[in-house]
Amino acid sequence: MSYGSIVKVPFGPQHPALKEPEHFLFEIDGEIIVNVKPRIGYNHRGIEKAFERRTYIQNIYLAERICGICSDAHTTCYTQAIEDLLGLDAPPRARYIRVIVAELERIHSHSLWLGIAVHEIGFDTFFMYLWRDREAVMDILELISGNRVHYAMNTIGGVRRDITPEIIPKIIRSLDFLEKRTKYYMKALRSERTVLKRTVDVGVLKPKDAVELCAVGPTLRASGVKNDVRGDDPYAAYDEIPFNIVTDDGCDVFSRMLVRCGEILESINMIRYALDHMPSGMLRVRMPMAVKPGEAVSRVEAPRGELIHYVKSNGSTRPERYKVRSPTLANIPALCRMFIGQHVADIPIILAGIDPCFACMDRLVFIDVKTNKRKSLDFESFSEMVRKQRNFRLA
Amino acid sequence: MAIIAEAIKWLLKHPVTIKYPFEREAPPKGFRGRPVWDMHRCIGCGLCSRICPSGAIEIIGRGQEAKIKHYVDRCLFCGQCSESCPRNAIKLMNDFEHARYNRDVMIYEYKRET
Amino acid sequence: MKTSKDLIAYNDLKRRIIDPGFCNLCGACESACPIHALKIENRRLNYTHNCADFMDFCSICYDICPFTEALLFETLGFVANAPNRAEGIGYYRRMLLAQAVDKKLRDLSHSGGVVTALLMHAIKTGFIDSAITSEREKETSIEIRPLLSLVPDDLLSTVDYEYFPSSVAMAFGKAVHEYGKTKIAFVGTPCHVRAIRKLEAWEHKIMNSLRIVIGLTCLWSFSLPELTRFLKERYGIEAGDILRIDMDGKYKVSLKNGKVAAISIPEIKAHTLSICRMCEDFTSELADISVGGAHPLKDWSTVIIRTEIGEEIFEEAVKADVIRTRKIEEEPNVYAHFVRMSFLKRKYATEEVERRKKHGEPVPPISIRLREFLPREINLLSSLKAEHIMTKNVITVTPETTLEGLLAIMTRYHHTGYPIVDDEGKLLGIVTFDDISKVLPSKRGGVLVREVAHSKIVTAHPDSSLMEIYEKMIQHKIGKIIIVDRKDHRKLLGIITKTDIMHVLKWPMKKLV
Repeated sequence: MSYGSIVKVPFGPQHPALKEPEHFLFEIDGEIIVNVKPRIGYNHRGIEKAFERRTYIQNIYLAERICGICSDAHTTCYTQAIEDLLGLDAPPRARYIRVIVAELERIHSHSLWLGIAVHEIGFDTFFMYLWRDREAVMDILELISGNRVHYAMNTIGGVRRDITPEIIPKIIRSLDFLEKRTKYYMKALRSERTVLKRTVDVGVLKPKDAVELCAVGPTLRASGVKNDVRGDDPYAAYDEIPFNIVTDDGCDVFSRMLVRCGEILESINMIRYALDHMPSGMLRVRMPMAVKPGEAVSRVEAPRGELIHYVKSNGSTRPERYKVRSPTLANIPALCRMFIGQHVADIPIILAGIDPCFACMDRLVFIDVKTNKRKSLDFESFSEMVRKQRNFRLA
Repeated sequence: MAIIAEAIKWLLKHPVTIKYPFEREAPPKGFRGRPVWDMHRCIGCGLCSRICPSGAIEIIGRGQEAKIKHYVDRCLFCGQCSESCPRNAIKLMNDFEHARYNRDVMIYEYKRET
Repeated sequence: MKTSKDLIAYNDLKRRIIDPGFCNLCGACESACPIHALKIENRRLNYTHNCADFMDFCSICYDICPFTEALLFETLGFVANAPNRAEGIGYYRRMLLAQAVDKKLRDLSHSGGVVTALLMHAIKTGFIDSAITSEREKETSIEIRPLLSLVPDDLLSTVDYEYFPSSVAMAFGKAVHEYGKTKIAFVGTPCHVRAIRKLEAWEHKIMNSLRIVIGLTCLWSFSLPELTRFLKERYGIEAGDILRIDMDGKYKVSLKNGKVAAISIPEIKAHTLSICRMCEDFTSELADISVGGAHPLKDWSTVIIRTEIGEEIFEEAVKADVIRTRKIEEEPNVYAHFVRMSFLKRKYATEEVERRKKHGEPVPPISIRLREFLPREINLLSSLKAEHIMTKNVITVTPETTLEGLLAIMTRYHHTGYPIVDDEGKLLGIVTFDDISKVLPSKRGGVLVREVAHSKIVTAHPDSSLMEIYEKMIQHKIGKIIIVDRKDHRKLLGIITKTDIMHVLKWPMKKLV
């Protein structure tokens, strides 16, 4: 049934779904969304520019701070790109440790997202339990790396710390606990009516659309498409560790939940296998501070999907250009397709369903409004332009 | 309604939250806290100041007379300074409560005592 | 005013060590450099980027290079608390002969297999977790490269002789930085040991992982391209055919077809590294344990234990029946050969430095430093009198002692010169090790001390200053001076050796935190 008139509803920058600011302009017909226009760029931090002004060592810590939740994925991607440029490989033990930390991070990220998702549908009891149990994995990460969020484990040429035999039993114990809890939560999700009512057939993304719109990560896999960088283009030690790519055919928010739960269980098994089969030997290779000229692209499966870093070096101690394509950016077109035909009340859960991280993805392009032309600016002319403040808008 | 049994089960147990200022948990071994300089081992090379990703370390003078200023409000606690120091002059402490109302008191100075 | 670039020590290192060709690629600078600016690649030391970009001021690479003057006397502090010291041997606790009990080890290794047996035992007991030695680059080649052993069996491929430069000090840095090892045993030649000790005296953080330093005796390292060219042109030997090189008075090159070519020392000397020709250290005087050959005995090694930790690990190995020992006193010939080589190296080094100075050629800073003192040290030496440090209980010989008897005394007390005193206590002359080595071993039984001794002796008085005595030593090119009474020039009061003066100069050992 149509009400005959389309109403435009601005959503954001301050919005109920997440703490991060982003703007979406919804065109609604009654309660049903008919069109959506996203507008990104509210949280642009100039990180790519900052990369060019720091040395390769300092950039490890900058890359870590692109995202607070996938901090390890970003450093893995960064160090892989630099190692590629240097023509060197991280030693086998370091690659196993990278896998262990990355999978622990995946567990932590997915349980965090599950908590947010159930919070968006108003199920805060579930949210509290999920986040309480997430502390177990945070504690392991702190034990391994010395920090709960910014692990700083990766360095160019390997890892900075070893996983010593003393802490392995503690990790195994926590993993057993997490496995038990995750299995319970999966059962609870499937039988809990509150969850089913709010998520089944909500935010449907057909497999054809998902592929067409270049969705990545669990969003893509929940549409039944088997795609995972860990399996398709193995990095670190993923070619030596057996694992299944978890998919689901539901195409809705509920199957996104199930995919992430399944990935937690899969990660637990991978960590167990990696701890058992970790080779002994070197932790890192000492790398020179200056990197020879060249370009490199590196791909990593972050908890939210495929992450791409590009680096261009001019032979000095600082990169000439750095580019980050974070998974959320790739999921935005798919997200817009999901909204079509849904109710306004479901906006927060659909938006949260792709596990967005707007601060990671916001990029800036200068467009001259009069001539509608794009511009590239260096730092000096940019600051001059800001001073003048004329005829430019963010897009 | 599926998790109501779970909720009742936990209702009868102690809360998991640690009542922070009154109860504390010691950080684990290897925790990356505030870096502290041992100026008797420092040779004043200035590497920590140049390698610091966030510019939290300032070195004034060089050699034996060097003075180190550490701005905790800028510090990332990454531990790169300690890792780079050739002479183990920088140790990471276990303390993590650095927040103050005034940024001026968040500067730590180190100088070699004669 | 100096700019920040002048303060970077690499410029000095390049000017005084690398450019004159004194670098022996030990790689200590690579493991010490906090910003990885130095890297050994393709048998060259490369400077990968300007270190002034990262540091205001740094002197690590220059300070820890084994051929610079810095930290030289501080390093003596690591061995100086040993009870004995002697010319040509250095500070030591005990000197003995040893061999590995396992015959397989003895056959595999070059001599007694002591180093391999010691390290394998130490890894097994957990005293160390890794050992740095050298192995052959390829099965067929005589080039060697550093090897990091983590399990005892790895050590079987090592070679415990080093005639070619190997970047073992670089491997030490790798073991700490890249493998994260914390209990490392280091095996190297005297210059490597010195580099490691300098790093330790500098208190570099990687040195917290050092457990024990085993030094090998070393005459010279060869410059590989030059030696292979020489062997090919002069003897028609291809580098690939060489099985091994032995050293017992002559260099014996064993070939794969069973032939042995003997090359005399002066002939081969021209093809050694230029820095080695000016090195005075034969016995790795700074190591915890020094191990060398025991010519003419086969299957035995001469072992000098210098420090407590060396004593500990060695005793443990002896107790576990991994190593068996003999007293060196039983074999005066072994001792005589050992000391002769040590003196030979010192003599050649002194000559080479003199020659270079005369021709205005560059001399490594360490060689200058051993002859010239800093103002502070000159003050110290001028203020001290001979009576303060001289050895008062001098071991003397009578003119009627046979040379064989003298050699037995030397083997027992390890001094190399003995005053000759008659029955009434009158000083007649001095007999030194050089005098013995002039007489063939077979004739030593029949020759008496008075036939070979010097009657003209260099003496000083108890109140002469050490600086005076040192200058006298340099002037007469001798290593020891007899102290006599000012009134009665035939009354022996004591003796002072060059090592005694160096002992005064060593600085107190710094506390390692």
